[in-house]
Amino acid sequence: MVLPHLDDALSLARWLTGSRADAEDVVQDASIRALGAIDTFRDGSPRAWVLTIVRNTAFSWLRKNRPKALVVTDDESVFEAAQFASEAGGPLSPEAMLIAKADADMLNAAIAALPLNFKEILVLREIDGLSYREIAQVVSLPIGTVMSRLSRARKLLIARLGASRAGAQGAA
Amino acid sequence: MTMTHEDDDLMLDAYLDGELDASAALAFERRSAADADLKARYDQLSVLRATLRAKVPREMASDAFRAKIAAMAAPVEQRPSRSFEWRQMAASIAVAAMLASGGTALLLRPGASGPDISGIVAEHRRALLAANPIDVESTDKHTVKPWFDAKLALSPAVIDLAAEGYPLAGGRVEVAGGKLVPAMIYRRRNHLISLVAVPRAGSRDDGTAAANATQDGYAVASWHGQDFDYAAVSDVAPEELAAFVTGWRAAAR
Repeated sequence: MVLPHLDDALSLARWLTGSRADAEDVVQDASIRALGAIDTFRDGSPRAWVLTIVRNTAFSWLRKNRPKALVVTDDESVFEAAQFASEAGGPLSPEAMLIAKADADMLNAAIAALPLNFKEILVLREIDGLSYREIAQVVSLPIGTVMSRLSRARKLLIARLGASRAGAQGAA
Repeated sequence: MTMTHEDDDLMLDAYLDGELDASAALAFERRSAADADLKARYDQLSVLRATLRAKVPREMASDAFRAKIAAMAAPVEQRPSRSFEWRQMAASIAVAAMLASGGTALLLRPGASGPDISGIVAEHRRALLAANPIDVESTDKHTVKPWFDAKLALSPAVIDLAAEGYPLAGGRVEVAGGKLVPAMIYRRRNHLISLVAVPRAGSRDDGTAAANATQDGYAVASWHGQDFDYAAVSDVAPEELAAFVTGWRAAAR
């Protein structure tokens, strides 16, 4: 049950916990939980079911080991900042170029800096490739909320990649 | 229906993610062809997507980790008669034992009854849960022995065989027959030897030759010792394991 989705599970756990080693611990715990809870799987996407357990396990792990990471962000205030940045950037090329030039370290830092409730949705979509419906199942939220958080997460990334680039140029 | 700026954003994302149905996608394409701002925002998103795909890799499970999870997921109540499935499972466990814990941990229950196969399977699934092949790393038997004592209230003979070329590497707790038992870990060049001690009242070393076996390429030797039954497991050559056992028993006596 877990095995076919192991890479997806590790990816989600890696971004939620922040490290590969912690992710393996979380996925291992989640696999034990999944074995015990296999009766609760009815229908729908097995992958979403597995990732739901991984996510819950990761949150338990965070509560225990990184309580500060669990601060949930007020959606609106973050959104306003992102909105401003994306409008200020203006049409296509300059910002899009900055994004395209971002290196792996900048991308990793930008994802890591996302508020947890945006980050998980971005990772489920962009790294694990889940559909909106599957994501909604994993995070137990309506699809509309998933969509708006995903949209905001992407705006935040764009804003941050643009800003860190501008900062680097300013310093040079 | 009026579209707000935010609705447009959601539409952009949904289009990018292939979540719009055909008619909505068509309508969106027509709009963005005529709306430079919308097109520019869409381009930003698709560049972000492409950049993430290119530069943020998915995590890939290592073979060791995959084998470990596979071993956990294998059903406990496999019957030996279903030999094909059992062989597959045993192989995955053996690989997991080798890769995940860097050591070997097959336990044969010594005695006339022979190896308890379903026991081995169940025990190993649990043993493999340990993230580390060695719980307490020490070459000093005066560290390892008290550690077992404190952990398990068991005190098997812990013998240092460094002089014979088998230095003590540490100790680990394993599960055997539903009980926690001590396992001593020795090194032989790059190999690890696990020596599992299962307490058995009244047992003593009467000098009977160790029972040797191989299982999935591992050499296993088991014998009776003072108050414990011992089983040594390793991927070293059977002769080397036999030499280890001979040296160990001689030192224990």
